[in-house]
Amino acid sequence: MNKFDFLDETLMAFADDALSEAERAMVASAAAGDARTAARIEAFRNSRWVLESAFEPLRGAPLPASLTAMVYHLGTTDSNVTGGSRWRWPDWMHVRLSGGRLLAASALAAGLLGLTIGYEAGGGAVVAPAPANLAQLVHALPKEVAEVLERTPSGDEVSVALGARNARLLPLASYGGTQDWCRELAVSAPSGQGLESVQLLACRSTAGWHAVAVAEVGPHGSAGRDYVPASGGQDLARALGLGMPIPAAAEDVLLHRQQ
Amino acid sequence: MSEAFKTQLVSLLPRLRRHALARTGTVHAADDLLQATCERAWKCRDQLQPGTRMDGWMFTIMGNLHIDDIRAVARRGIAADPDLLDQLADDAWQRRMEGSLALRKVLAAMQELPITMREVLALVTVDGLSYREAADTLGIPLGTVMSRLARARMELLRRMEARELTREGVAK
Repeated sequence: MNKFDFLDETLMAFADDALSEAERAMVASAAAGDARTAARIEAFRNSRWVLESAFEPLRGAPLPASLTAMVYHLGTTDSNVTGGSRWRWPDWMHVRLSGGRLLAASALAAGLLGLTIGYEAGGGAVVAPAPANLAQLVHALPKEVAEVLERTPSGDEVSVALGARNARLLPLASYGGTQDWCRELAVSAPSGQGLESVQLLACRSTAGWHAVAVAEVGPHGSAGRDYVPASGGQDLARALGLGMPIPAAAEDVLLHRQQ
Repeated sequence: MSEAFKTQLVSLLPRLRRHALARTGTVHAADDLLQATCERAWKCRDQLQPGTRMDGWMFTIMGNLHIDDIRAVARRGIAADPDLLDQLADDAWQRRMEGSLALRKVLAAMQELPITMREVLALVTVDGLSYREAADTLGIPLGTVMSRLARARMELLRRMEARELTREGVAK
């Protein structure tokens, strides 16, 4: 080995600034006197640059709310427990639509406004069943639910009493901005036949919060099936022209604005 | 423990998703791997020892699952979920990836490398782990990490030069 012979691993570590001072001085000296060594080091620097710069566009890109919701619901769904099929998006079952400013602004909703029909993602309109008690409770937007919508960041689950029932409320995502803030909220509560779960899409106006849609999630009253975070809220939000969920930092601004 | 675990897991999601993307090459496959990783971690959360870095632990789980996936796909092929592909149309990562020629070329070139090279590339140059941290995560000697990484970077560079995506290529 002459003075210019260094292993690629050493030259790479030099390029990555991962050598000791003594090793670094030796390699630097060699690189100063040998073009091949210098070129090799530059190639390693270049490779790092290529990789780091390639992934740079992803820095700060918001994650889909469904990913966060998936984590917060670990341990509450059959697929999680069994390790079965992955990334299963539950059916967006029988959504009851109510009137509202956002509905009027949507081509989809324009045809549904004022009608008591449901919307099934990917399956067209269907006749909705009579809403479950929990769905009725949530749809009425009691002050406990409105308070959660107003104050609680997405991903933070809280327990509240809805009537005589203890319910878990989990904001999943926010949409829009200061003028058109909407939120997706998962609500679950024990029922006589198991756990009843609904999903709410609500929007805020100067008059306060109003329900845009309430969906029953999962087979009605099925025992042992917990709430599953759904893309359905995003499907509906998209259909209503709300776009993608806003990032947590933007949501923080909206939440703090209300305090 | 459970809620704290989930909170910590959520904070790691961007890094985990980026790492999964570097491993798999597509957001679709990355999310599939990411969800499986989160589910496995949740089931094994009691095995996370106090003082253990959760990011390294998660990378290890993801690596093991990914190897399993590669073997399984080799056996049965792969089938894309059309519903998920449709959902990704609104995904910010997917949009940014589609808008970045450099990222798409790097991901494509990485997929041509053996998985043993790809995973050290992902851990060190994409996720920013030190050589030692990568060795601990993969459970292999430090020298092996450096050897694989050096070869992977030279190989990647060769493929990038073929795609005119080196620093000089971009500057042209």
